[in-house]
Amino acid sequence: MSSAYCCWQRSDSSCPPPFFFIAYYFALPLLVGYAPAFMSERVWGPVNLAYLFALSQFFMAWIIAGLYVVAAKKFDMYGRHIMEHLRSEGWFHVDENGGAK
Amino acid sequence: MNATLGLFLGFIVITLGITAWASRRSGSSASYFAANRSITAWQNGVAVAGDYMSAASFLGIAGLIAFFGYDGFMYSVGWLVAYLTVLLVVAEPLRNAGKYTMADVLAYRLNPRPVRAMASLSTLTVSTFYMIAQMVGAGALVTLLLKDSGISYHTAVIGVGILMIVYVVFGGMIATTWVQIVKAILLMGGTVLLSILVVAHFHFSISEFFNAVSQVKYHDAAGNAVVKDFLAPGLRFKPPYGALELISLGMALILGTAGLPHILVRFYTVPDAKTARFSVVWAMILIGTFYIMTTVLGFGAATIVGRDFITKNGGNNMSAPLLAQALGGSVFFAFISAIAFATILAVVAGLTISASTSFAHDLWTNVIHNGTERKPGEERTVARITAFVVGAIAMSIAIVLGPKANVAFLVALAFAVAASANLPVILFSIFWKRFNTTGAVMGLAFGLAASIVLIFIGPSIMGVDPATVVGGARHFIQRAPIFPLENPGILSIPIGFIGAILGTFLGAKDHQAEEKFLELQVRANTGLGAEKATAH
Repeated sequence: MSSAYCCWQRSDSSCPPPFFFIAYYFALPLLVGYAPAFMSERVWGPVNLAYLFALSQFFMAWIIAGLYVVAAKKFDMYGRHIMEHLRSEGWFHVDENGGAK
Repeated sequence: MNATLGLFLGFIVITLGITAWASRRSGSSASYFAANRSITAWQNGVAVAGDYMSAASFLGIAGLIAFFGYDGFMYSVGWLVAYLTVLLVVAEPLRNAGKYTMADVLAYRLNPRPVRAMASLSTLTVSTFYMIAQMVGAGALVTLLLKDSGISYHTAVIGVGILMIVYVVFGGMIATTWVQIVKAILLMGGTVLLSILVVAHFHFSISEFFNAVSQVKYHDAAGNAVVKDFLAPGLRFKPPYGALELISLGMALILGTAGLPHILVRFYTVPDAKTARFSVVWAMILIGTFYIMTTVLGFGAATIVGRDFITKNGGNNMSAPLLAQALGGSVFFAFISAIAFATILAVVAGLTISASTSFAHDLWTNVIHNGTERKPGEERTVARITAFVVGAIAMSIAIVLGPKANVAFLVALAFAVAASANLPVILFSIFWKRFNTTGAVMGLAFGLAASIVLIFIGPSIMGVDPATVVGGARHFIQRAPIFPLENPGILSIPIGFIGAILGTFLGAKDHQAEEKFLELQVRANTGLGAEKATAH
């Protein structure tokens, strides 16, 4: 089950918000584009805020991907429950591989 | 220089071996179009990375960072973060609900013929334009890297074209996948080695490295010596349109990657949605590491080789190979150059198979012949012929354009079409119950038309060149641009969404599509009835 679907249905509060990363990402071009002086502020030797923020995007992406993979275990379970429910109601016959006939 | 040729020939021999091996396993449609759906998570992850990391990123982004520092790095960020859209929204529903192409998901609950026809047109547009950009790049590279060996631009373009046709016609998706895996491993290996050499050059001291990057010396266009902080933004994206250009580029990358047909078809090669999910994670690890390293290469080229030297020796696309030469001598230069060719070959093979699958499966079988093959294997035969035709068209256009043509806009166009035409209709067909056929057709048409028109009236095509600029480097239309941005996403993406929404409300309420919405929801989220892996 995709994370976007889960959040859209508001079926589980633990799913990682798929739109957080969009806000975090677009903060970068917005800040770099409209506040270049602020972003050029040096924080560690010659390294400035703009560079650190850009670099942090990579880690943000990896962390969200990790959170999603963990949360998705639960979505997989929901998916199986839905399948079992439909099967018990006699909606379809399921072969050994789980495919519908 | 002959070492480059030798290494490249080695790569050709290996990939042709893979193709011969794969051709014996491509006997059914599921194996030809979807590698039997038996590619594992890590294999598909590496293949996605190999499909995606084009010469534009290896040579182009390293070059942009070498010339414009931080502003070049802005590209790298978007190319990775875009995979979150693929992971969180598109990959799993697509795998569960489709068969061979992006259009399968759209056709599920809508009237298949008009939707497939438009989706296929969009796929063919994206793939062909992207392919032409890669082939012009390949030809231009050869003239730079192998200038002593007598291989001309035409020979290089034809060679790349023939190879990609051979991979796809004989080896199908299995060969394409393994060519992409081999290429991704070579590219990662070469980039890691080169990055280590750069860091070693600065005595493994991060502060020494960043100090050098913060004061890069070169001569500007007017010939004045300047010192610039390459960690600071603003060297490329300047007022008045720099900020808008950055946002527009970001939108095209974040929304476009999840609509690139050649990336989407990769998720049909794995056994189930869970494997598709893990393959995106594998791809993200590789792609993220790669794009962080491109900054090391770019900054390394700026500080160690220098912008002046790169300008005199082929321009910013040569930054990475020239860095390799400076740090590892001519053998390493040959190695990195050969990797650049391998990169182009793997990407064009992926583009060719997605274009030919879309033509054969969507247009031929489902639009023209109402969804049934007239004889077994017809779809594969048509796909093979299409691969040949598409390859020939791309080769001819690349030869006509010539090595000096500015083709970066074709990459921007591919992403813009993917983001403005493909993604809105994919999203709406998965998430919007009321969505109907008119909405899908209008969304695709508006997004496609807006992207093409805005690119053609933008600064990539229109511009006034001084008389010193000659041949293919000149703008096609010698007039001031009407639309100020190189990346049209900021306008074309909303137009695509508006087209889809407008069409949905203009069209009649489609009860069948709404009934099938629940069916698609269950199917996309549980894998019920999804295409199964086949034994091979």
